[in-house]
Amino acid sequence: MPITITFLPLRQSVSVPAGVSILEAAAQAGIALDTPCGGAGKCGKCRVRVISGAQLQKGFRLACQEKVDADAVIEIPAESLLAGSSAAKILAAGGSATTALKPRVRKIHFELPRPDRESPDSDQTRFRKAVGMCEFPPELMRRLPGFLRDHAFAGTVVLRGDRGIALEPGDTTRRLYGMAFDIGTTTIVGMLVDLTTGKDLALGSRLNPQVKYGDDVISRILLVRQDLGNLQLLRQAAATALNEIIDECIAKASVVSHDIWEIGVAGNAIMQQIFCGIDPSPLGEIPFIAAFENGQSFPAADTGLRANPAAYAFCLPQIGGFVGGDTVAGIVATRLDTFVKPALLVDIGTNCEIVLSHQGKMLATSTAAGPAFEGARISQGMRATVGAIEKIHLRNNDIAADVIGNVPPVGLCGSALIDAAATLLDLGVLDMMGRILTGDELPADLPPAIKRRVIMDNDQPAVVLAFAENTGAPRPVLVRQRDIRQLQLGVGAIRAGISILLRRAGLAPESLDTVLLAGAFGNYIRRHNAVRIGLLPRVPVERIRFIGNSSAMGARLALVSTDEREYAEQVIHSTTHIDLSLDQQFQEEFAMAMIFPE
Amino acid sequence: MSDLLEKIAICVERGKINAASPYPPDLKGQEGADELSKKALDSGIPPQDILNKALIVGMQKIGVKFRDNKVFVPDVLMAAKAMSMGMKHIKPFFASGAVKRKGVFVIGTVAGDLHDIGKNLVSMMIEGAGWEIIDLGVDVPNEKFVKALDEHPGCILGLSALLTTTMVNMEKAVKSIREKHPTLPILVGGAPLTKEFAEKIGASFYSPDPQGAVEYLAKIAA
Repeated sequence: MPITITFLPLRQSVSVPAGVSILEAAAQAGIALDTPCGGAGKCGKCRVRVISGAQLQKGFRLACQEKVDADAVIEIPAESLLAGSSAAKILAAGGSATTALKPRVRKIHFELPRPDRESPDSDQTRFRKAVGMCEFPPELMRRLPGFLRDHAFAGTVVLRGDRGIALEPGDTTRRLYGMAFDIGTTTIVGMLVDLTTGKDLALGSRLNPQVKYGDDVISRILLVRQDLGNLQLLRQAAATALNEIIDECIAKASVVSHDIWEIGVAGNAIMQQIFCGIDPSPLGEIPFIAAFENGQSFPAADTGLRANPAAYAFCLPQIGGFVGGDTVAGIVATRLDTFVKPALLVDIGTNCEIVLSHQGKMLATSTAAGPAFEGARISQGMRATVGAIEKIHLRNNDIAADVIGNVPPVGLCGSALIDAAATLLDLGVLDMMGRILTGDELPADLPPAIKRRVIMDNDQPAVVLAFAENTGAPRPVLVRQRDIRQLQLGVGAIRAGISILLRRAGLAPESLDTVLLAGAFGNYIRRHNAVRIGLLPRVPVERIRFIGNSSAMGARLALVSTDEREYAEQVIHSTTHIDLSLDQQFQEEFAMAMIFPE
Repeated sequence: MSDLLEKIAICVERGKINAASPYPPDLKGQEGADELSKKALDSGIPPQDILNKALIVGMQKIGVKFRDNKVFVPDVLMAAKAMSMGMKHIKPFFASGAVKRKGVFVIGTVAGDLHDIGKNLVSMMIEGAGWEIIDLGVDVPNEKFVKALDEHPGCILGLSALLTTTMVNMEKAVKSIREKHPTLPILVGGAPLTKEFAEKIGASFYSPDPQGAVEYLAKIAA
């Protein structure tokens, strides 16, 4: 009787006879373990961790020595993989895991034998014999006889799970597309995916139109509190951007919206609830209660999304409070629960979600970082596009600014703000309390070129990052005292959140083996600068990886595979939500965390 | 003697809690408000002077700097911690009447709201200005406010709300309190508040920063 062994973190399953060793099972799954002693049980290099498996002892075992007798889940630490093997390469590549295609929606082309006196099967039976078991809802059953006879008993059936949802003439099996969205408080990102190949065809992003009603989630909740009708207003606002992104993507890929069959969304709890048309107001006051925890799905037509009329939209499961589908998406995309040593995921947007993974269990929390990292509420802040200073560094005893597109700069984006603060701290222009020093307070040995950059602007100190005369820009680009204060608020909240999670787990920052940073600051973030200003804990920079948009990555995985969707549902059960607003020490920890590290 | 009081005032203003504290970096290793207040008492300086000529002076300076955006939240928090170190030494003298307080100030964050950092900053500064603080905490139901007012006749009341969604609870609180205390001075504050909102709900005073509250109280207590 064959048994199934599942290998993590790559989630590869293999069917093997009972009695084989884990090493052999891995080989059959295409995973090469490191075995310098040839499987003699002497070198210890093939160590794996048994997560579950009736006959096996849990914990670390030698793969060459342990034999499997029943279904098991085994985790392979990166160091046990044969160096240079394909499995090792996938892990090292970083970013999202890849997954086998298994979308909820599929298409099957059929050519049924025609009925005659010798084969009098009903249309339904004839259909099932050719295509396999499937349910026909009444609307489809009504169409079936006519469709079959109009199209010579041939065509394509669209199935959602085991349910037929549409019949199309001809063979349309190659035209099956889906959209995956990350609905952020400030920015919406979407991608068009070919569900027959798993390939991304196009990407688009827009400012979330809801910002005109308020740049933070609380003001949007307030709007709904004032009048429940405003829920529809907010829902529509986001849907407008979603449709614009769909239009942009299908134009780029030469696809028609009629062939979009599934739309997956990840966002924080407020964004997701609004997307689903569910009142988010209980999330605006103590004790901050979300409406649901399991992923929700509904007809995409409900919210006017540009897709096939029979297409469905879904959102990811939620953890609790504001910690929603975007965080679950991040955990799924990074397989955070499968890391052997302590791992931290920090997803920075207008709200910042932090997840600490330790021994298969996770703690998750959300703090309001403010839109500073995306360039908002910063006097000359902007998103990372052409004209934005995206990096600040020192060169020839002066401050240098790199601009996206190499054009005269008109502002700065999040990554540059972090660089600026770190650089100014090291120069002694910024003190640890966040004050820009001026005149005599500045260090005596400060290079003159830098000294002339420190000016008073409307009664408040500021530093000129780019002089207009030098760059040809209409105005200089300044980082002002109040911009540093906004940064302190964001850094303080995130740093306090990380600190509290570490404390709850009984871990010191140094024990963090991996820090995964997700977010929309800019193309790159200088890790040492993020550590310098206290945004990230003091760990060696090699342990920090920037992974891009983990929410979009997770939404995409859930779109292309129902296994990933199930994984997402499981993940919420090993994650505990820590509500910072209920933590006695958060307020003070937050205030103290605004002080830059020495 | 005045030299010592001046030093204590600077410790409060700069947030120098004690010798062991690493903040601020340029005063590392030096004695802080804790040690110096004790020294002052031991050398015979009256506790009333320590309060009025050192602690209050320091808090006044930081309050003005905060209002003028020259310092930020953590600076005020550190100053308040330094002040409370000094207060710890002179508190025993309050009960005996040796140190006179300006009055009683009852404060709390309204129902449905857990934010307390703003409320705590204001409490610390008003205490630093010589008032006795009765802090009812957060998520305070109206009945609890009314009860505290009954227990402390002649006191002044402060209400805080930091969520736009709980401002409506502040409106209800003021309404129910005004039914029993039509002329009671009620101060309101919190990030989403405005002067117009304060006037609309019948509050006596609104300030966007703690220093404004301190000055208002000084005016009405006079």
